[in-house]
Amino acid sequence: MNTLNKMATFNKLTGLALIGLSTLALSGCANKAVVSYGDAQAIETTDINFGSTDLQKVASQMTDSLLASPVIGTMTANTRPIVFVERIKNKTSEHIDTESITDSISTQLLRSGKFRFVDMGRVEAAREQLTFQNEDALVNPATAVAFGQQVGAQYMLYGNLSSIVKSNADKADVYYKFTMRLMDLKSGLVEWADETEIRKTREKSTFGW
Amino acid sequence: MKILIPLLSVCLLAACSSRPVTSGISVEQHSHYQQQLKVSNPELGKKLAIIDVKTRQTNELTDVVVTLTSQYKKSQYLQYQFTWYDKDGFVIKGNHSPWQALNLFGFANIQLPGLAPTSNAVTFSLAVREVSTQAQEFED
Repeated sequence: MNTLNKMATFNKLTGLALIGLSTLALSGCANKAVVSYGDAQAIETTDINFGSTDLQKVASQMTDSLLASPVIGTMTANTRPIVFVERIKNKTSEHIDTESITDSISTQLLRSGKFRFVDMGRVEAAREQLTFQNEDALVNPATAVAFGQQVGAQYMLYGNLSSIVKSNADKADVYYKFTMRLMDLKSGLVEWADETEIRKTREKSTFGW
Repeated sequence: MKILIPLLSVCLLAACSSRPVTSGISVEQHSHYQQQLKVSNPELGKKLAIIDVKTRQTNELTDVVVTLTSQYKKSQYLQYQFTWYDKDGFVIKGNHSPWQALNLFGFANIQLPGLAPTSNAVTFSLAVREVSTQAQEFED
């Protein structure tokens, strides 16, 4: 009888300890909000959507491919061609800021010292400034930048981003294809083109941690 | 019951210290013919080896391929990053080469390509590490 009582008390205690520990384990550190700085270059896998890692991968692969291309080698041998970035058409079902991709690519190409760019997104602002310089009495006419001196772009950079998304109850799969082309504006010839692919898969984890 | 309590305690303690394993193996090139291999994660070093480094000039830029080989039968989920330096050993400013994901199949070889961002970049280092899993985070 005594032994049975002891056994029951032990079982109760272990049960209580188990419940207590489970509660702690589940609530544990989750109550504390912690703010920290992460690595902007780290691989991000929060969800299956187009993320920072995909943007960086696409930009870096396209820049490398363009800079290593033999045609570009000939084109940039004695001169720095002037390029304008048209846009990347987003043909996916997601909202993706494609200007951010072209910004990264044009920044990396400019940094390589092999290309020069004209920014079509700031034409109106430049025109407004030139109008002010040339027509406003506040500006010394000798220092005003005259109209009609800007240089025209020789090449146009453009591309497409498309995706195929498939999913069932256990698995989701997304495939992105990014295509980019460089067109000679004088001849209309496409001088360079390349594409890069990304596949991302989400599966249910075996351990539901 | 007797097993469950210690197990839960371990989980509880481990959950509070989830810091991923970020060490791996790396190769640093000091000059054209001098490379230094560094293994800071011996466990990964057993499963993975850098067997070749080739460099050449493409359009006045340093072009490099590093060959990795798997010494393990299963697929490995890895990530790699190139860092570029100028002739004085200074890191190229503003060059943000991202970590890139890599799936290396069992006993397979793969060439990792890297292109210098500018013509000033002459030497490089390549770091390879495992994609950290939750199981690793519980290790010390």
